[in-house]
Amino acid sequence: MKKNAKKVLALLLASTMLFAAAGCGKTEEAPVDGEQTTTTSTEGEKVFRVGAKDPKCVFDPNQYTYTHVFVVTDNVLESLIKPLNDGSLVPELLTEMPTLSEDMKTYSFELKEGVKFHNGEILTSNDVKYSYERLIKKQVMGSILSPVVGYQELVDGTATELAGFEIIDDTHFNIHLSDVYTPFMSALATPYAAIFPAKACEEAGDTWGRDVLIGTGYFTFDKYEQGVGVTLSKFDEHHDQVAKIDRVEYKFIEDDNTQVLEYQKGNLDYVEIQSTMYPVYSADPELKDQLVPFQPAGGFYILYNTKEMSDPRVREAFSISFDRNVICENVFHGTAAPSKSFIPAGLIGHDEEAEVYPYDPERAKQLLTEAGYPNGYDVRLTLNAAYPLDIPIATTIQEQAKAAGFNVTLDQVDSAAWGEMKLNGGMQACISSWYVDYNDPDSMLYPVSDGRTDYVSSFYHNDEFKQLMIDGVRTVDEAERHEIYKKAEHILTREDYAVSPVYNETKYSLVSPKVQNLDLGFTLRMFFGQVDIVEQ
Amino acid sequence: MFSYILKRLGQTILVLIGISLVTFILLQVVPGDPVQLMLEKRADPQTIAAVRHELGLDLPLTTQYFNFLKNALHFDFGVSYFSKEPVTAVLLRCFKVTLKLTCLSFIFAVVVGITCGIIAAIKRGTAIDSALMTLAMFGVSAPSFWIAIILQIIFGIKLNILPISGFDTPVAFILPSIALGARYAGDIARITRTSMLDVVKQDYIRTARAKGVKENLIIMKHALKNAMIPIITLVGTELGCMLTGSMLIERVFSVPGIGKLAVDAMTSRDLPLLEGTVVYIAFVFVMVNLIVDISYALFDPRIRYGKGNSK
Repeated sequence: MKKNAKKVLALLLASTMLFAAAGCGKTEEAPVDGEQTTTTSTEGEKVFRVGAKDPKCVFDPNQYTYTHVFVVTDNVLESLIKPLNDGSLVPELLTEMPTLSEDMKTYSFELKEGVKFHNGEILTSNDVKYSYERLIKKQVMGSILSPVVGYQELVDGTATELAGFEIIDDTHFNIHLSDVYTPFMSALATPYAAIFPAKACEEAGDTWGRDVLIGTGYFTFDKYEQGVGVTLSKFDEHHDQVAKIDRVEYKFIEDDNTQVLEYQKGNLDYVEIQSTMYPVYSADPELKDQLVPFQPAGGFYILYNTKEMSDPRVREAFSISFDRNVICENVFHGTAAPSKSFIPAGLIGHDEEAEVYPYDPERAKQLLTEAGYPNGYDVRLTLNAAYPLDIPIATTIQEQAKAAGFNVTLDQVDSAAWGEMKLNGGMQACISSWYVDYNDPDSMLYPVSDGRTDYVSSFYHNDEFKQLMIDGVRTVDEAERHEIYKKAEHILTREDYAVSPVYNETKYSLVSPKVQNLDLGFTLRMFFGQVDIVEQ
Repeated sequence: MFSYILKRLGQTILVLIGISLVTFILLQVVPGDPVQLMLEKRADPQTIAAVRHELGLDLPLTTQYFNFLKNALHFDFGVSYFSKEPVTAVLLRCFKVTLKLTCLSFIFAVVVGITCGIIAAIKRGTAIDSALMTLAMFGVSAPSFWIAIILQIIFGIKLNILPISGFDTPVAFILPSIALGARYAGDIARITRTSMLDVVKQDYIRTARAKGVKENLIIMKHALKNAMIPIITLVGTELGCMLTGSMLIERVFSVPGIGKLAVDAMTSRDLPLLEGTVVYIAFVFVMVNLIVDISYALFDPRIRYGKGNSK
């Protein structure tokens, strides 16, 4: 037995070491020491290396609406129309912006001739029709096409095709709407409305966005390794102009600190940073000049369950029971500003004259007394664990709101539980955030209370507000729309207090000085077609 | 011995069924709907119902569980809701990464831990003993993510001799292995020292010394071997822990292993992936415990399993 034991042990040890040695075998060409990788390879290739987070899902914008998905798909896929960073729209796959019929219900499109997909196929009207039908059938964001004739039939399964999509020939088609819908062009510019090659997408099935992703964008989708990263290569036959860089490499690094360390080491050219780290990096002589700010259109707010906190006076009292300036200074170190309005600056309907909610505990106490709560009011504030900064914000609110008579208890739950509780009324109030999908106030307001649906979590309902939301999407004149949305927002946030805007954050990224022409859009979209790498 | 192993394997199946059932029930109880997470925006009741039907989540719970069980018997845990990839393929991919990390961490922990433990026992009461045990205590008590960050800064940034994330080269595993293995090395050093101190007091050690056997031989052949039983128990449990992943280390070093997979599956309520991961973790623990139990017999001939049982 002794000898056997020794043999077994020796064998086990040898196997373990063999496993380790074999397991650690070099799998790919990569640096073998701690040296930094270079932006330009030995062949002179220009490579843009982006610190990213693994979305843990397929890169299919019809199915997943995460920013981590779009940072890749926006460079592989294209929609008919493209949003510029100033919010304006330009034709992408079209010869010009679509023309609108007199009744304003039919849009006529003309595709550019000879636009090639990455697999060599030529873009046709049929591909557009297929892509829009797929978007509707996948359900997640199909409702952006809900104004199109035949949308509901396709959703219900009583039709197999989108009746309102009329193909004239390979490059011409019309889209008929059931009603006037002003944000339609903005909706078509979203990443959800990307155009796929019909045949290839159908053949790929569930592997679409994982093994295969084909579009007309500046880069081809080369490789997606889950948990590791994504590699894109320049598409030499792009219909407009070929990208200046040869490859984009997204490296999935979940830990923010590790991302910055990799950046400092020279292994990444772009990383986003947490607001809490802004004071550290802005004080670092090497990094401070590489910090690039951008302000996405959207913000954070307190969302009330209006069934539970049914009295607007209580919601108003809560809105003025904490000091937004303190939160912005202490938690965000000046990288956020107190919200003045729910619709952010730059969008139609933004109220330039609105002022920051005052911090007025005495007035809050008075409102609570008027509402029948002279002895105070218990509020359960639910936080999403995915947003660690919600904790210091909520504790600040908890402490300050005491003076107004609010007894705030904090619940922190994970994203999945948070989403379900929010939708099913399992929370009384929560800290929530929203950034627009497209450059229109409709995109900002529908999550709070949609004029067309009432599926949102606040259970807020106001007939006047609802009518304004409907009028807003049916009105073409911009000045009129401005007044409509301004009024709708006033009702939402200053009369009914269904939400209380808290702060608008300025996000910061570290961008290598070698990187040029990188524009960070206000809709959190990143297009790398114009990016260049210039060795310093 | 053979019948004992068969019996334990039979128990393993029952344990796995039990754990999968408990996991399934718990997932029904805790809030968090994968469909709402998938749909995220504009999730109206009609769409939610349609997607639930597509995923089979509208079936009765018993049907859902028995479907899972039936497929699991064929090692088919379904397809991930989000990545659309077969769960077994995801598990295999992550297991390979975790195995690499585990092997290196395990070797580091065992070699460093046992060596330090032996030296501390031999040099009992000296400054070396104190230094080694302080180091071991540091390894046990320092949070692994903190050790990880310190290692990244020192070796990755300041000295610039090792990568600070990734797993595409052999050297990339060095820092995560040390960060993961440090705590286990500390544990092993402490138990080795204690166990060795018990053994070196025994009469047979005194006899060996009296017979003039060389000290190295006494320690390695007589003392260490007899001190191995508690060490093996600890090492076995720790091997199980390592094989089931370390979320923090994997996150800090961007290593896509089992630990990170399990946490991701939980946060996204990816039920097939979560069930598959839980069954995997349970299986690893049960098997490692079985191997540890069998190894007792190899180290101590007095221990026998099977009919008539032990001593």
